[in-house]
Amino acid sequence: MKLTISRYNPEKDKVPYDETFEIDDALIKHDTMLLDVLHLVREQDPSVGFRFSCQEGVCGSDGMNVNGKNHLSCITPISTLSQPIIIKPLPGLPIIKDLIIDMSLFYQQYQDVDPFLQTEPLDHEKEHLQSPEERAKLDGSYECILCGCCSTSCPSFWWNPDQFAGPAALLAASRFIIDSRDIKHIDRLKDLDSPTKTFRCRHIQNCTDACPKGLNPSRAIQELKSIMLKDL
Amino acid sequence: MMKLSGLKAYIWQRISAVYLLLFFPYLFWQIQNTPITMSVEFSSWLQSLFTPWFSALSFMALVLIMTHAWVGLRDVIIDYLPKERVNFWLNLYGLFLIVVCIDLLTLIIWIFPTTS
Repeated sequence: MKLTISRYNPEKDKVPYDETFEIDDALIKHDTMLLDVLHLVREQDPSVGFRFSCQEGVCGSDGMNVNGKNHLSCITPISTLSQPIIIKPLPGLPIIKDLIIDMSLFYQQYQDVDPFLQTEPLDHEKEHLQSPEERAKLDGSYECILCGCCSTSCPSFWWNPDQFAGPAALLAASRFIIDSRDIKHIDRLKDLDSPTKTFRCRHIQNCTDACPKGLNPSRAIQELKSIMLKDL
Repeated sequence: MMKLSGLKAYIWQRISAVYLLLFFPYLFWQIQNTPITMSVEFSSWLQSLFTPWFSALSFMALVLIMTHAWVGLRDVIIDYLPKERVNFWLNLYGLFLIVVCIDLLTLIIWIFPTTS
């Protein structure tokens, strides 16, 4: 099996370049994940840089571009990938080293939508109750693991990562806007009403296609726009 | 940049799109149903085409075409041009649309001197 990995060391290289590694097919089983293969690559060359942590699709740290599409390497079976496997860092953000990118802008956009519940002051005598129907509305928007696969597959985010909130941040914004317990509904919508923050989304659905958790940020953004139309 | 709305532009782009989608087929239908004969001058034919009711609809279409064009290219400018110079290009584009409006109004007044 051949893997072509984009390499870049800012201390040595002026531009990224591709390096091909060969892995013995005997080491590959049917359920081997891409991350396992990257560990085998690292046995050959310990300098190959990539992030990983939980190794089961929960932490979202091993997002990378594989054969042109963003994936989490730990939950991508190698058997689903066509050969040769071409691995690049998630596009649109600065590369720190090899497959490791600087996600500061991504996190900044997430932080800017105030991704936390803003509700009435905590009263120890009373719970913030929610009906099962109200809770069901949150399904599909709270499961985001912030891997960045969606935002880094979005051309609008590539052009203006400092201005356009991006699918992940807008999905998070939507999650709190539709939460029946949140009392900052209108303030949140007003914050998002700018030509650059929400309305750069053209619904090309790259984000939905790339999401390793099967979420639909594009639909959430469309719903966000509909809520803005109704409530602002 | 800060004065530009996201939601208002979004609404007007859609309203104008729906109106223009309805208007243009109506415009072609109206043209088809305005008889042309060799003896009729073009300006007379235009005057028979643009009845007061149709003129009002056409004027609204013109306003909405300008609105649609403003939002559409405004979005392209915000998307693709370096943000340091976005304000300059938006102002220039706004000026261009104003010139187009003045030009079209002059044309209308020239074609319909008696009615305007």
